[in-house]
Amino acid sequence: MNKYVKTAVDGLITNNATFKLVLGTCATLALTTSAINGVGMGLSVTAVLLLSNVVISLLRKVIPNTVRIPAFIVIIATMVTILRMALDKFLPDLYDSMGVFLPLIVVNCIILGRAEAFASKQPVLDSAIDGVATGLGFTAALTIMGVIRELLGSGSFFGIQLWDFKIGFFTSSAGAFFVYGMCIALFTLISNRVEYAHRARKARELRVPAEGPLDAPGISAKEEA
Amino acid sequence: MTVKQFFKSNAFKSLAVLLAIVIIAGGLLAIFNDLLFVSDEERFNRTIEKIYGGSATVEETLTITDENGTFDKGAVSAAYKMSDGNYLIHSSGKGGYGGDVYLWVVVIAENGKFGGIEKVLLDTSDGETLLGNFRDSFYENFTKHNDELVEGKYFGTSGSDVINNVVTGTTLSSNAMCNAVNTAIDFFKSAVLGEEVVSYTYLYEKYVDMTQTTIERDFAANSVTLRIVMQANGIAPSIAFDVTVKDGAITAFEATKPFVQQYDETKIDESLRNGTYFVGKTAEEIAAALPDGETLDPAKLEGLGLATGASRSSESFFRAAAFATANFEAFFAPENLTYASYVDFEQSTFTWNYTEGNEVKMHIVMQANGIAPSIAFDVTVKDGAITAFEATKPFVQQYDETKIDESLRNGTYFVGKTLEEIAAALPDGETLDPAKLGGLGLATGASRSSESFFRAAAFALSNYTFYLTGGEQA
Repeated sequence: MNKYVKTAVDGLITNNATFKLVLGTCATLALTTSAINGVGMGLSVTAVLLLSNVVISLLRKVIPNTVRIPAFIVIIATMVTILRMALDKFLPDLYDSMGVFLPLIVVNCIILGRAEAFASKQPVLDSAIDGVATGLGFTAALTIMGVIRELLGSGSFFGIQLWDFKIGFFTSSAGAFFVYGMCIALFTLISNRVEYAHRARKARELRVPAEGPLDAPGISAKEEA
Repeated sequence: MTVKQFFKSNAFKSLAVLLAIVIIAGGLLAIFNDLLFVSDEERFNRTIEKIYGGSATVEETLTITDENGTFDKGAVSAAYKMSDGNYLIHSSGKGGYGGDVYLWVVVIAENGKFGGIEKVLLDTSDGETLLGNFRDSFYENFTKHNDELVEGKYFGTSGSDVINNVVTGTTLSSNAMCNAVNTAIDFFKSAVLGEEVVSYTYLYEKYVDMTQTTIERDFAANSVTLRIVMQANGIAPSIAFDVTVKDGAITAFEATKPFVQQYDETKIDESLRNGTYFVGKTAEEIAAALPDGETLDPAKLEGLGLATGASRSSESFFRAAAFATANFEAFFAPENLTYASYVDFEQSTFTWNYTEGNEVKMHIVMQANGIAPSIAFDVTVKDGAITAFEATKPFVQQYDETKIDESLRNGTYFVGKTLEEIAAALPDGETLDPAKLGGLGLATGASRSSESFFRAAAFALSNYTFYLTGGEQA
């Protein structure tokens, strides 16, 4: 697999920050009462991730190891502050709805985590792809949770009222934990199935030279697995 | 390490790089701040666009002063008369989770009278964390009770005589928003219409003659003993009640007559007169009998007979019981009081008695202060100044009183002192500054105990108004 594609798949799915690594939980739980909030927060984090990863990657050979964390924090805080200003200027409704969680992006583990684990060691393009992919993975997770909670808790979809039926539990903190847990369970189930199928395919491919083609009489894919 | 070595060292390089990053980041922020700055005018125009969509313009800007813009539970910072005749008011509400909440409130002016709320829009509230929980329906709910608002009701998050508007899980933010809307209403009534705005601290307070009512709190027993003197209710005269509420339920209820006119007690159900009907009742049970917050509904009285000819008096009984129970938590609520962290509320008692003038008697038991043990004080505050101050020992450990200045021990130092004078001795709010004591000698070995004396005095003075009215801190 192309290394850029692998980086992107890693950030989006394989190492999904929300459902796999369980990072950025505070914002995930607090801001997924509606889908639009989830999208807004996710895209904000994506923007910060992209910018901070690029800058940190550019400076990776300049920043001494001993002060890398404070340097990263200063860079991330700067990006977040600029993002805040931009949102306040151009998307004031989104800026208001995200409230205190917008400045708190500075301490989002995902951003510092990617800066420390990836951007500080990889070239700029790789870091940019990693930032975008990880951010979009986070955005997708928040959007999925936001859609579920908004549909069940408020009877609406991206603010459009669909029905009057509402289960208040889903807009509460307990509902956030419940939906989060269910999403993680479902994500783990699906990713395990995919990995299982992937391994089975690999195993089949590895056996081909030794035992012949899969469709040979007496050998089924299931037995192979 | 030589200077040359230092400049070649990793430490210098780290410092220089970090400094460079900080300077560049600062420069970037300055540039972006200039590029993306949102002026007050732009924010205001956004608000107008959001609310009116260009259909109305500002006709007149009202002048806001401390006098006309400050209210018990909020403040107004800007107000405009719009071209449609209504008023756009920028108000803040106290009591939020992380600070005040700022709203834009459109108040309807109908033929020179208050006509209700047309729209409520969130402005800013940086300290609130769960504003995403407030959906449009919450803000719209403020505009759906105009008939009740015109009748004089206000919004709130609990209680039967308010229009409830609360989002579960964000009660504090809801409360602050209700306060902001109520503040806008009060501003309109007082500053625009010139009406006198009466704000109540307690639920059902408007039925109670607070000048004759006394509230005695017992923090240790979690109970409150009240002498409630009701206002006359129509043809029914004022009636006084001695009520004790413990853990939110009434444990004693008695109608007393010495201070009020005679009422026709023979027509009132005996279980009301002797209080047995109310004993054990909670705020919810009593509020159910007053479904609109003021009128007694005979159908909700579980078979209690209400004889014709005393229904107004009976109503006063229920209103008194509702006042006592619905405000149970509000009677205490000491957590936000100034200097409260030094006081042991389990053992302290506070008695307010208007019949003695604006006087509050406090038995303040202080927390131990470092090596100094807990000390108890009997303090009387009247009209904002200490009139009596005495250190008492029966309920606390002995302290080395011989080392403490006699004028502190016998309280003469504190008598006549005001909050400003006492607070000056505690410049950082907790530590006693000997230089600020006006020549009072503080002997070594009792400075922590002496500090407790001043903290007790500061607590008593700064919270005098709270215990006088049961409302907010001074």
